[in-house]
This record gives sequence, C-alpha cells and structure tokens, in this order.
Amino acid sequence: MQEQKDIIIELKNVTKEYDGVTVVDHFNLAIRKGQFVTFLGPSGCGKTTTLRMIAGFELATSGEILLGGKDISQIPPHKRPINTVFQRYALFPHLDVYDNIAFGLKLKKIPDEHKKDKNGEPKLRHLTKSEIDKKVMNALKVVDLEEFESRDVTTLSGGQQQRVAIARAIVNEPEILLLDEPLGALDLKMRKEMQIELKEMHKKLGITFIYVTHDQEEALTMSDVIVVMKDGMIQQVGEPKAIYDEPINTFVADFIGESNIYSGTILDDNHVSFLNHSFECVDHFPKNEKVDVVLRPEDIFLMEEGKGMVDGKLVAKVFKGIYYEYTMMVGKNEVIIQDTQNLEIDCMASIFIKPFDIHIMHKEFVSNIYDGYIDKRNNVVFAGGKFECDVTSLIPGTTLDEEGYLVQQDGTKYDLNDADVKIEVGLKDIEIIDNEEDGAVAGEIVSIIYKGDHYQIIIRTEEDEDFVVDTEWTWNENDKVSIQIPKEKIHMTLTKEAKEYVVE
Amino acid sequence: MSLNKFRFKRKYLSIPYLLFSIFFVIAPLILIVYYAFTDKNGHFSFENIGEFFSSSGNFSVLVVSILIGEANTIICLLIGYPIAMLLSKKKYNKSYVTVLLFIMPMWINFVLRTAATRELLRWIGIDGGKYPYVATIIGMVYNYLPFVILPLYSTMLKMDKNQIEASYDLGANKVQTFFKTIIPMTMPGIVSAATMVFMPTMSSYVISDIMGERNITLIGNLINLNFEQGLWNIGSFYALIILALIGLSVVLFKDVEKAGDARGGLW
Repeated sequence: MQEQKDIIIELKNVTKEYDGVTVVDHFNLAIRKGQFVTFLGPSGCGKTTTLRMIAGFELATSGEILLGGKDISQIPPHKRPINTVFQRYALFPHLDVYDNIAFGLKLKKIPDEHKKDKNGEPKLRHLTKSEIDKKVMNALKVVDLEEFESRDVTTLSGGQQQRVAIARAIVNEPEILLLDEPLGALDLKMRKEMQIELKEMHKKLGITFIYVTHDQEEALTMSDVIVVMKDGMIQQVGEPKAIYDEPINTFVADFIGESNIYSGTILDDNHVSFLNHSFECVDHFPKNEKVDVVLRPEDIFLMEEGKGMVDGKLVAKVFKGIYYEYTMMVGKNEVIIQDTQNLEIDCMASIFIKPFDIHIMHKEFVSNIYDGYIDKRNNVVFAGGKFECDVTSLIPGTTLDEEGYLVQQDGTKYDLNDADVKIEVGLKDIEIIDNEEDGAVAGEIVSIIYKGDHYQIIIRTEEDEDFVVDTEWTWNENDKVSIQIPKEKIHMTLTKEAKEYVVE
Repeated sequence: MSLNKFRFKRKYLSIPYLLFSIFFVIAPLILIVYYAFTDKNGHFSFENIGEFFSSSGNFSVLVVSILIGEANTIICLLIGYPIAMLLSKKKYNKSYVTVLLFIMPMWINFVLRTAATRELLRWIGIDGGKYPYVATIIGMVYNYLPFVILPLYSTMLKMDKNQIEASYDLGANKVQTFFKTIIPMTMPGIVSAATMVFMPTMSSYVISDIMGERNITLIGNLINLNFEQGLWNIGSFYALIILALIGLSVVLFKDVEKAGDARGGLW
C-alpha cells in the first residue's frame, strides 16, 4: 500500500503505432516519486517515443498514462505538469537567457488569495515581475549560470545552452522532468561533468527525472532504475547493479557492459558445459537444456598454464589504463579478459571463473519458426519469400508424380496446393547472401551478438519477419542482405491432417 | 616556365562580379547622384530639390506610393504566411508540386498577366476606372505573392520542430505558441519577404498604369514621365528619393531582423 501511494506516474499497456508499425508495444511501468529512471536502448527501440508520449507530443494509440492516478494520455502538452529538456536544447533564439527561462513563468497562472470570484474561488493571476525574477535567478543559480541572464543564447557554448535548457524546464517546478538524450551533443569531458551535476540537481530538487539515453555507461552512472528497451518492448527493469550483474537475456548482457557470450549445455543441477569444459555454477536450469552463458571480462582471472580451469593461448593485449584487455583463444572460442597483470602474448595461460560469476540464461532463439503455405509449384512460401522444398517430407512414404501430386504407394493422391504448414529452420541452416537480389528474401541486419566462436545475427525483412542466423562470418549492422535456405534444411509439418488434402 | 609564373589566386574569382557591379550598380548610382544635383547645363545646383518640394502634388505622389507599397506588403504577408505554413508542413504538402503551383504564375509574361487580371476584375465588376486603388492593389498582390511565399517557405522549412514543442511544453497553447514562438522565429523570413515586396512596389508603375487605367500616379510614373520628356535631372532626383527610402527601410528592417534569428534572412 505504501508503495502504491508513492507512484507518481504509471504507464499501462501503452502502445504506439505509426502507419501500422508498432513502435512501442504494451509498455507497462510504474515510476515512484523522486526516482531517477533511465530508458536505455539502441536507436529505434521506442525509448524516445515513450518519452514523447509522457510529454504529450505524441498520443498513445492505446493504453493509459496515469499521473497521480489520473489518465493524462489525451491531455495536450501545455496542460501537463511535465517539462522536457530536448536533445538539441530547442532554446528560443529570439529571446535572451532570462526570457528563455521566464517563458513558462510568464504564461503561468496561479490562484490569487486576495481576489475571489462569485463562487468564492480565488481568481487566477499572472506571476508578478518580482516573483518571476526571483524564480529565474534561483534557476540560474541551480544550473550555475549566474550573471548570464542578459546573454544572447546563440552566443553560448553547447554546455551552457544545455544548462539554460535545464533551467528553463526546472523553473516551472514540474512534477516530472523529461530529458531526451540531453548530453548527446556534448563532448566526452563535458558530458561526464554534466552527468554528475545532473545527478546532484536531481538530489537537490527532488523532482522525478525520466532520462533517455543509448549510452549504457551514462545509464549505469546516473540512474536509480534502468529500463532496458528493444524493439518497443521492455527487456528488463531494475537497479543498475542488478541489471549489470544479472542480465535477463543476451541482448541486455551484450548491450550493458562488455561480455563474453557462449552457447552451453546444462549437465546437472550445478554444472554447465561450455568452452569444452564443465564449470560449476549456481543457477538452476533443467538438465540438458541448451543455454546462453555470459561472462563479464573483469570476472575472469588469468593464471599460469594448467593451474586454472581451461587453458588457452593469449593472442592480443590492449593497455586500457588500469588494466590490460587480453584476447584468449580457447579452441575456436574467443575469450575477452580484463586483468591487471602484464603478461606476454602468444603464450599459453589458464583462466579461472568463480561459480556465481557465471551467468546462465535461457536461449532466446533455438530455431526459426514460421507459418507458411505450399504453392502450386510445390514451393513453400513463408516470411515473404518463396523457397524450394521437399514436399514429400510432409507425408511420409509418398513420391511426386508428373502433375505435381503426392502419391502414396497404395495410390492415394494428395494435392497440397495452398496447404498451411509450420516451418522450422535451424539457426545454422540459413545462408546470408551479400546481394539483396540473389536470395529468396531480402532484409536488413538489425542485431549482431558475438558468441565466442560465432555471431548471432538477426535479419529483419521488410514485412517485419525475423531470421535468426548463426554464422562465423562477420557482417555489419544495417547491411542489406538476402537469405537462402537449402531445400533439405527446411523442416515442415502440415497444420491440418494429411487426409484433408486427398484427391478423390 | 611562363605558365608557372601565373599563380591562380582565389581573389581573381571576384573579377567578373567586380566588373558587373562597376558597370551596372556603381556607375549608374554615380550617374543618378550626378544628374540629381546638376542642372540641364551640367552645373552643380540644388534646383531639383526646390522643384520637388515646391509642388504639393509631388509630395502626395510620394505618400500614395509609400501607402500602396505598405498595403501591398501587408496584404501579401497576410495571405502568404498561412500558405507558406501549409506548404512547409509535410502533412499537407507531400511534394514540391504544390509549391510550384504558387510560383507558376511567374512563368506567364508579366504585362500579359496583369492585363488579363484587369479584364477578369472588370468582368466581376471591379473596374479599374472606377476603383483604381482596389484594382491596383489586387494586381500588385497577385504579382508579388510568390516573392512572399518563397522566403517564408524556406525559413519555415528550416524551423526546428523541437522549439515549437518546447513552447507547448512550457505551457503555451496554440495561439500563444504562434505569436510567441513561430512568428518571432520566422521573423527573418518575414523581413526578407517584406523587403522583396516593398522595394519593387515603390518604384513600379506598370501595374498601376494597367490596373488603375492611368488614374493613379506613383513615384515610378513621375520618373518615367520625366525621363520620357528628357528631364533627366529632376527624374534622377526622384530616383534618388526612392533610393533613400529603400536604404532607410533596409536599415529599419535590419534592426528587426537582428532581434530575430539570423537564419534564413536576405542580408
């Protein structure tokens, strides 16, 4: 009950579609008063759209946004007690620093205690000049820009403009402050300084901050709660440490911090096999399940050859300031290790990992599954492409006759034209082709995750179908490619009984 | 060897423009000033000033010219601003074709177009003989509207949508946002548009002659009249007055423009 009271804003099943494309998909989140919440994700994950729906610049296609229990999802932005700091500052070039900050205050109306209307309610009045003056000066002090009030905003540096933008928002004393990648346009050093200052401002003001960024380090540094998003969906919500230590899937693990990701198999209750070795672990998974194993580079210790758990050859070393980053080859698998020891490369070494540093998670993709149908020429059509296939595999013991019918030995004829089928294709069975024209379906590479000895690539077609492919070859994100699947690798099953397709 | 001696410098690129401005801008200006302050025999004199101010008719011609110029500018802005705004919105203007529609009238010969407008107006009852001012202003607005739409359109295209959103975000409703954010931010475009209309209207006389059926005398008419009669000196003095007025308006507009954003301006 106590927790319920604390909640300042709650998004319930918020969905946003543009021309039929879902950008934010059933977003559910409750934010407590005074929290610093960060929406984190790669570009196009829907984080900015979600923020814009809270601000009111976009209206949700469906769902509710409850501010203090009241649905505000259809209220225009100027009536919401929420202010935004924009990525490109969006200061008004025709106004000086003072007037930029006072913009909201001059429009604001407050109840006047001295004047009552007919119903005895206080009349509304504008703020007086001295009230505005006091608030503006105070805001300037908060952002550390005293004596800048009469400067022209176009003469300010990026960092100073950002401070004005923050002052312009907080001066209105909003219940929630939205920040849309506010530090994105600043250089690294400035960004680090502003991160700390923003965090301090948040503490001092006690306003709820909702922050959008694609920079995982920024999110880890500043937030109380991180919301990791991908493809319009929340992947994980949690405190920075929880998200870093216990990523829920390989996407989160790969996106937050550096990680080694391997395919493994559960041997028994506390053993998992990967890198050709059985490791002790603490997570419990069903026996023989294929899993993804995540190791953080700083959790791996380097030892002399033969003394650790697995031996391998150090092939590369990069000095990173307080540690070295080594690349070790264990068989065909690459292991990234961060260690303070200065070791020779091209030598054999051994690694040691503590059981609770081995993070095990369910495999997201075991195979690709699609719905499709057989066409007139006995090809299978699915995911927007037409593939050659072996239709005889659908009904055991049949052969194809010259007219394209399936014939059983006893003479039963089947016509599979338009028959609905389920298709399963293994991750390793899909071939990626450089040329968009050459394969059966064209698409764009939307995600690449390195898994020790291979890459897991997701190719998204124009019709929004995904092909998950395991490959040893390097591709780039946003590459336009096409895919082909060998005939014998397409596993199909009929959705209906075979007898439905018997030809009399 | 001799080829190497000639080193190409960037400043040589300015030579064509320099020649152009000497022959077509500076020399004519000097000639105007020279004629304005000399008499028929080429002696220095102020008699043209006296001539101009001695006749109250001349003065009223000047006032009428300014008023018509201002009326034309204001009406053009009032019509052109909403049009430019619609054109700059992707929602309403999916292609450049719509913009072209507003510019296409310029492809028709100016005299022909104006004469056709006059006939059209007469047909609906606005006779240039009876209502010379109304007809003249309609003709001018029609002719100068594209010059208003184009600079406004290009300024609005460059406008940052975030700034308008910031205005809503800070509590301004649609009307307040329009007057406190959109108008000030498009001020450079407004200034460009206004100067591009006001200056040529001041000195044009063809439109008023055709539309007003020679019932209106503008300062352009006076200059033309004097030049046709070979009175180069007094004609030049009138031209000098227009020049002074244009110079003054540029200075005034420049102050306004400084207050707004410098982007998208003409100067």
